[in-house]
Amino acid sequence: MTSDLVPGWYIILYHDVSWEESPFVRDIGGTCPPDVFRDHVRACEGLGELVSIREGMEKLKRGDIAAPLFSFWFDDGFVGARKYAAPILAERGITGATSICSRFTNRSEMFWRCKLSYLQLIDAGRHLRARLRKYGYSRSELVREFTIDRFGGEVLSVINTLYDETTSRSVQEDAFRIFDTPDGLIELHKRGWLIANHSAAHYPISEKHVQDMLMDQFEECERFIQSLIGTESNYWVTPFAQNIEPSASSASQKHRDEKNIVLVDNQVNVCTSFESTRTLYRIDAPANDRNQLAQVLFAASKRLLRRSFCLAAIIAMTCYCVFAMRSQGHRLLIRGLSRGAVRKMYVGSSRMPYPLPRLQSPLYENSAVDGNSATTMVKVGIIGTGLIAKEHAKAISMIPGSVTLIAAADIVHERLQDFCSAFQVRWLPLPSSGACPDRAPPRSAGLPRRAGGARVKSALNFLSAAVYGIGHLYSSCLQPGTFHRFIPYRSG
Amino acid sequence: MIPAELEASSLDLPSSDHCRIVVITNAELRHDRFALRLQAEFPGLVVAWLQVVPASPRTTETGGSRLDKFRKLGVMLRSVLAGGPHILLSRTGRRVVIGRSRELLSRIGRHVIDRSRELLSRIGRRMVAKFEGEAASQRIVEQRIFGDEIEQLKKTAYLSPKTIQNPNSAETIAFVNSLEPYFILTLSGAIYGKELRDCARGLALNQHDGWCPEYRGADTIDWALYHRDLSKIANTVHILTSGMDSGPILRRSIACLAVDDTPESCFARSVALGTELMCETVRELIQTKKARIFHQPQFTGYTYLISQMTKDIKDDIRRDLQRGLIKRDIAKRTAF
Repeated sequence: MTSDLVPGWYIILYHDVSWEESPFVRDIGGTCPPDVFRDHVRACEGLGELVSIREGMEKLKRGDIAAPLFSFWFDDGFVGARKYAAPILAERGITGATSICSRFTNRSEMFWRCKLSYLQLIDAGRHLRARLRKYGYSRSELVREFTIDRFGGEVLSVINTLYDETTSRSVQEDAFRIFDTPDGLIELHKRGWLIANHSAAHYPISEKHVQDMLMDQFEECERFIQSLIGTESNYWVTPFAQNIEPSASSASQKHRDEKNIVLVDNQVNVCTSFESTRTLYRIDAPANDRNQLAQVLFAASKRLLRRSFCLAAIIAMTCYCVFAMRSQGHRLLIRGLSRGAVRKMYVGSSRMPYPLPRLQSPLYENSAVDGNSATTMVKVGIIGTGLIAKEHAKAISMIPGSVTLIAAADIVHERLQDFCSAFQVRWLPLPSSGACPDRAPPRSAGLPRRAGGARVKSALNFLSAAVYGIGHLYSSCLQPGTFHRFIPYRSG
Repeated sequence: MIPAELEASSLDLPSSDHCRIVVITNAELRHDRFALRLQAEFPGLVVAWLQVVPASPRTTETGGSRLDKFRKLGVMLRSVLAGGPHILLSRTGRRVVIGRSRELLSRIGRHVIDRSRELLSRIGRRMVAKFEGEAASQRIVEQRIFGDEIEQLKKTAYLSPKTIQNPNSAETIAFVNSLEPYFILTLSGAIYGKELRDCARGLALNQHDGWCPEYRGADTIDWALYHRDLSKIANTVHILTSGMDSGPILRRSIACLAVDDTPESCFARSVALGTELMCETVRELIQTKKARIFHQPQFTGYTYLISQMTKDIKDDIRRDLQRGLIKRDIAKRTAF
C-alpha cells in the first residue's frame, strides 16, 4: 500500500477537532470528531511516516523525501486542536501546526462566517438575504459564496448588524469559547507546535477588499504572534486559500517574499515545486468521514502523477521522441502513461518547427488539465535540444505566466550546455554523468519499437524526477546513463 | 453553549478552599471515560468514584438472573472440559458435586468433547445475542470510539471505582457525606434522592444525553433521530433535581457526528460531548464560584419513557441512517 502513494509531503488540513459541533460552526462545516481524527492519524501511519511540520519542512528543503510523509495542520485557531488533536499526535511523538486569526484569539472580533452559521441556525438567514439584496445578492446565489465573492465593508456591516440585533451579549461572549485562548496557544507553542499567521480576521480578497488590505491584516496578526510567543511566524496561511499574487506596488511585498505561503489545493508537496514557489499546499481532510481520507490522499497522489506524466508527455512528443511518436504503439504508450491527461497529441511527421500558436495551444490546454484555472504554472522539462526543442523553448518563453522551462536532457553534452545557457536553464551534472554513451541514437524511425518504448519511458521517468522530484516512477525502466541527468533550478 | 432562549438567573456558590468531587456512574465504558476524564481534568480533586451496579431485576429462585445462570453453566462446562473439579447448583439451590473431571473425561471420548465445545459456543453466542444484543453492540461501538482514549486516560488515573448497589442507601449517603464533596457529578443510571444530592456542598450536576427541555427521559438520542432532527443530537448539563432531567441547565450543545454513525455511535458521541461540557462547567464554577443557570419551562418538551421506544421505531431509525441521513443533512445545511 505504501508504494502506491507518490513520495512527497502530505499536509492534511483540519479546522476544529471536537466532540461538539457548535452552532457557530455547524453550518460552515469542518468539525472532525476526535475518534475520526484518531482513525485518520492511524491510516496515515499505515501509509507512510508521520512528521512534525518543522521536520517535514527540513526534509522538503533538503530534498530528502523518499517516502510519503504526513503532517497535520489546523486552521482558524480552534481550541479543539489543543484539547483533542494535540494529545493524539503526542501519542505518536509528533506535533502539528495551528494557524490563528489574532482577533478571534484575543476575543475582539468574532469570525464573520461563524456569525453567518449562527444566523442560519436561528432562522435569521431570510433577513440576511433580504438585506444583502441591496448589494447585488440574487436568490439563485448561495449566501456563503456571495459573501466571499462580494466581501467588503457593506457586506460585513450587514452581517454584524444583524448579528448584534439577534444575539444577546452573553451568547456573543460565550461564542468565543470555540477559539483557543492566548494562554492555550502559548502552551501549544511550548509543546513544539507551530503557530502560523492566518490574518487578523479571516477576510477574503475580493473586489472591495483588495490584496493590500489583506497584507495589513497579516501584519496585524504578525504583531500579535510576536507579542504572544516572542518570534514571528514564518508561515502565512491565506484565508480561503486565496493566493497572494506578487505585486511590485505593494509596500508589504518584500515582507511577503520572506514568508512561506500556505494554501489548500489538495496537492502533495515535493521538493522542486517548493523551491520555485515557496508555497506549501495542504489537503483538505474529509472531517466527518473516517473512511474517505485514504481516497483523498490517493487522489492527490494520482493528481501529482498525472501532472507529471502530462508534462512529460508534452515534451516527449516534441523532440527526440518524435521519432518514437510516429508509431501508433508509442502514441498509445504515451496516452497510457499520462492516464488520459493528454487530450491532444501533436505527432511530428518531420523535424520542421511548428508555428508558435500551435505549440502554445496544447501547453495552455494542459495547464488547465486538472480542472483549475489556466493560471496554474506548468513546469516543463525538455528532452532533446535540437531545432524543434529550441522552437518549443522559445514558445514557452513567450507565455511566462503559464509555463516555465526548468529542466533539459540530452545525450549530446555540448549541445545541452549551449541550450541551457541560451534558455537560462541552470544545471549541474551528477557524478553518474560519466556513463553517457558516446554517440547519439539514430533519429530516424530505424530504432526497434521496443527499444523506443523503453527510451520514452526512461525520458518520462527522468522528467518526472526533474520537474516534480519524483524519482521512483517506473524505476524498473530506468536506464542509467541513457541521458545526462541534471539537477534543475531556475536561473535568477 | 448556553441555552439563550430560556429564562436565566445567577446562582452564587458557597466559597470553599477545596472543591472535592464525587463521581457517580454506571459500569459501561462511557461511564469509565466520564470518570477518567474528570480525574485527568481535575487531578487531586476527584475523591471518590462510585460505580452503581444494581442487582438484576430478573432473578430466579436461587438469587441470580437468567443470564447469570447461563454464564455459570458455561463456566462449569468449560471447567469440565478443561479437567478441573466442578460443582453444580440444582434447581432447589443444593450443591451437587459431579466429581473429578478426569473420571468424566475417561468416560467420554475426545470426539464428544469437541462436539460439545462447538455446541457450547453456538449456544453461548445465541444466548448473548438474545439477552445482551443491544448492550453488546453498544459496548462494541464504545470500544471503537473510546477504547484508545481510555487506555491513555488510565495511565494518569489515580482512583479505582467503588462498586455500590444503591446510591440512595444510608450506607452510601453516609460515605459520600463523610467526603464533604463540593460537587457530585453523575452520568445517567439511577434516580438520585434528595439526601444524596444534599451531600454536595456546592452543586450536584448531571449530564443528560438529549436536548433539554425538548427531549427529556429515556432514549432521547433515538427519538431525535426518529424525528430526523439532528440538531437535537445533543447533551445537556443540568443541576440534579427530583424531576427527570428537568433541573436548571448550565450548558447544552450539539454533538459532532460522522457520516457512518449508527444509533449507538450517535449516543456515544452525545455522552462524550456531555463529559466535555461537564469538565468545562465544573472548571468555570471552581474558578468563579458563580453559575448562570437557565430554567427549564415546566410544560415544554416531552419526557420519554423506556417503554415507548419500540422495535418498529428502532428499525425506522436504522433504515434512515443506512440511507445516508447524516450525509444528506450535512450537505443540506452547509449549502446555505
